[in-house]
Amino acid sequence: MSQIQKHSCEPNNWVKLYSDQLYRFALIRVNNNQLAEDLVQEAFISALKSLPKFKGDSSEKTWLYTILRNKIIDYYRSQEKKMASKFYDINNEEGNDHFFYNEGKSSGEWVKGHEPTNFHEAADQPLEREEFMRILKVCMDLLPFKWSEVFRMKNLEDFSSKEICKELDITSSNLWVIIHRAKLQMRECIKNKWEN
Amino acid sequence: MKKLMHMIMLDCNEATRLTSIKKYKKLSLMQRTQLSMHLMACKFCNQFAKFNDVVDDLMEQICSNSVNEDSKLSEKKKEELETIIEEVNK
Repeated sequence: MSQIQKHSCEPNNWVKLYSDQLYRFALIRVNNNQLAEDLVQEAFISALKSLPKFKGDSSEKTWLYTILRNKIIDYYRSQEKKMASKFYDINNEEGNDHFFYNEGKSSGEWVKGHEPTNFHEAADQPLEREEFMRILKVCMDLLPFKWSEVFRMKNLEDFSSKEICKELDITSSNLWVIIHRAKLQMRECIKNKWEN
Repeated sequence: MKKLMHMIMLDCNEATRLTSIKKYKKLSLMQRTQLSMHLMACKFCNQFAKFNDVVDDLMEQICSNSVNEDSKLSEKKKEELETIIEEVNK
């Protein structure tokens, strides 16, 4: 009986049925047309290679999405290595030490030299707004994949926090930590690029 | 009294945490009160809160500009993919 439930796989229909959806899925996550096209192509090639392993337990659409998602994660991993960015591990309890003292009388207060200033007011100036947006985009792309995906999922597809946690396989308290750290890191990144 | 103040007042780490997540999670009345008290007293966290609002707005714009329902894979790429699939799948 279980045989009836198995899904089939028809590569000849992939482009027609899924290529636009997969492309949008990638575009949302990488924000670059050329790159999104390349990732879809890589995903199709990987899928073709592992076709013998397709057991039909999930639909071919779900299977293709999983492969594409892994390609996107691989891309971000390689970028992170390349840039050797200074972003902190989410599991590191002391991840905010860079910004706040964690002991003594000043515990929980801003570390000297990292206190926020009003540089963001530039975003209100028509002449400077474009440059501010450009830097913001660069800094968003510098965030670890899971972090920037949170913002994309929220802003673009209006996922609920519960759905975001489910897709990214994190707990809700992890989600709040990610958002907090992402905002602190983005401010630091934008400030550094703005002032230099 | 000092101890009581300490319990009511947030530190900057917690105040920036609440500021960062308020768009994503409804804060409790207690949290909202604590946050606004802190923001009135702390100019740094106040600047952070303003930065946060600007960035939340701009991020929304950036995300919605980057892709929409009509975003489609180019015809050229589709043809390339069809060829690849045909070749590999012979």
